[in-house]
Amino acid sequence: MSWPLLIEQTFNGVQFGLVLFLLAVGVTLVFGVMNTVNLAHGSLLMAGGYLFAEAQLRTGSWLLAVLLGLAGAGIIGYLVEAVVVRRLYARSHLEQVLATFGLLLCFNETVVWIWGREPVPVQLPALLRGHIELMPGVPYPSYRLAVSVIALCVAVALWFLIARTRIGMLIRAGAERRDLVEALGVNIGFLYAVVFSLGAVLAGLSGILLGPLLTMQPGMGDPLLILALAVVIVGGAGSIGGTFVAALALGIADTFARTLLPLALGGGAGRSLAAMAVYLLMALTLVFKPTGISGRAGGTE
Amino acid sequence: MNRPESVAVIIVAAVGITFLIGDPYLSRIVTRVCIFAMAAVAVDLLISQCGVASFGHAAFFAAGGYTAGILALNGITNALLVWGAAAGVGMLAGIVLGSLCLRTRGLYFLMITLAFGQMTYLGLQGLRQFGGDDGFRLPRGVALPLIGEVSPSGTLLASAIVLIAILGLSAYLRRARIGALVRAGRDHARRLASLGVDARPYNLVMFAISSGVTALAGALNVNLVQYVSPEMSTWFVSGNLLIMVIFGGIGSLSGPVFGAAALIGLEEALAGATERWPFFLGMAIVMRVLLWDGLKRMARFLKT
Repeated sequence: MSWPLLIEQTFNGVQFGLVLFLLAVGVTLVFGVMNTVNLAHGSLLMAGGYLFAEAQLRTGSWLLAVLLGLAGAGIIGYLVEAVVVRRLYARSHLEQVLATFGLLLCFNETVVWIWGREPVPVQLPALLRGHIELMPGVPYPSYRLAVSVIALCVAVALWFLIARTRIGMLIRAGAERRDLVEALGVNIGFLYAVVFSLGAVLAGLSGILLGPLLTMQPGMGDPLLILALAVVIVGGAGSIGGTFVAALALGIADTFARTLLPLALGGGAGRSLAAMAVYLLMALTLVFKPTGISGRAGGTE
Repeated sequence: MNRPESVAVIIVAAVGITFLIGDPYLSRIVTRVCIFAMAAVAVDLLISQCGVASFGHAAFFAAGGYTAGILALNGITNALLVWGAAAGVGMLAGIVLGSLCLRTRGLYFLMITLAFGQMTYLGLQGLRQFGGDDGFRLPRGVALPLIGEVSPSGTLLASAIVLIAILGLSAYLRRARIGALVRAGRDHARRLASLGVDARPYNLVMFAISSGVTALAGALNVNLVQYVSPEMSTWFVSGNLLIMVIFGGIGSLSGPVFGAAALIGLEEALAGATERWPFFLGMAIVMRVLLWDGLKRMARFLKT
């Protein structure tokens, strides 16, 4: 493997990992704080992406479309929590999986209904259409670089929110000892709504950022959601820091495995093994840490 | 309705009526119900007895399907041999995966089975010699000794007989010592351990039986559609099996059978009525979970 390719793939891996982190934040918080699994989280990614594409088509402004997409994902997330997910917190995990699976079917079909099955085109912002020379002779799409920068900034902002604000303190406390937080008189219902909507906005952002890089089609978020579940398991439920590290590691590993293994093993088998690598890591984590990395939520009797 | 005899009577009646009507399309649907009911019974066995819900049983379903397909490619068409091999492969896979997955409980069990399911799906996609993403068509159907090639109505008959046998097996396992032991382990792991009983081998046997039955269902499904592809192992298939169990109500012997009939019937009815049927199916699932009182019963069975 040549140096330019190595550098390019590293940047791609970091970019993918950062976007994966944005998606996984919502999953890990819902998992860690509410002890709930939400399979419809990928639908929020899809909702953000499609609303962004539609807004872009109508307004012609990238920035405005991003804001509208984020707002839309947040509102849909809030409604989903208020109407369905709120009723699932006290239910068994099996019921949570099934109800959110049902939601996922509804969302995918709604998108088919409105936008059809054909992929929807998304425009890059005019400013980011070119390439940047990372090093002499190593051009890199400036949009991908911008995605990394935006995602990194959001990650820092998120760290500030979680580590330095009152609501962040409550979220951390909720992930640690939900029952105690509730006993101390915190409005736990409000806290849950905030956590879920925050996750929805971040999922929407990942959909918006990935829109031009993936094909925008119904169900686009579902494979990514399964990947995000792997990130959450490897990183530890409820842990933002762990999720960040795991997302970067899995993003880079996945990108490299997809480039290197087909080179080493040839087409089909290599590609499959590469895609399996992430789930192998997820399974191994659970084999050696049967109650999760953090050992708290989810596996409790 | 927890007596295998009464469920068997209903199945025999349903299959008999299907034969009387003689519509090939209806007969296909009823065969599918029987096949998926088998897999749902297997999934329910783990949920109601061991207290763990698998989100990866599609892997065993596909393992059985690929076993049947690969045997057919190699000219082996003896139905008993094919079905036996599929169940055997499923049980072996179940022993290997079960010993890893059963270390976890609750949500983490769902996650680790999901991980193995995804690995199976991606692995099957990589099998270029067996069609990769597209899978392959079976060159010929299976045949029974003395009877000859199994026709579509023969598949219906075989599926119904196997389903009834599996219901009998499920009823036996619930009554037997192993059933009592895994239920005790589910409800009071620590108390059981303090009595000097290690529930793990019993759970593993249950898991292996469950995966063997699911693989057998997969092989029958391949005999029905004469086609194998990695799509058999997507997490949507695992999800569908769980939905069937929930639809029918967890823990009763007949529940998964009615659940499979309800889900497949609902799919067919909605697909006939509207192009947007996945939307209404999703709605029905959400409603079933949120509104059905009978599900409260389930909380007792699945304390996770």
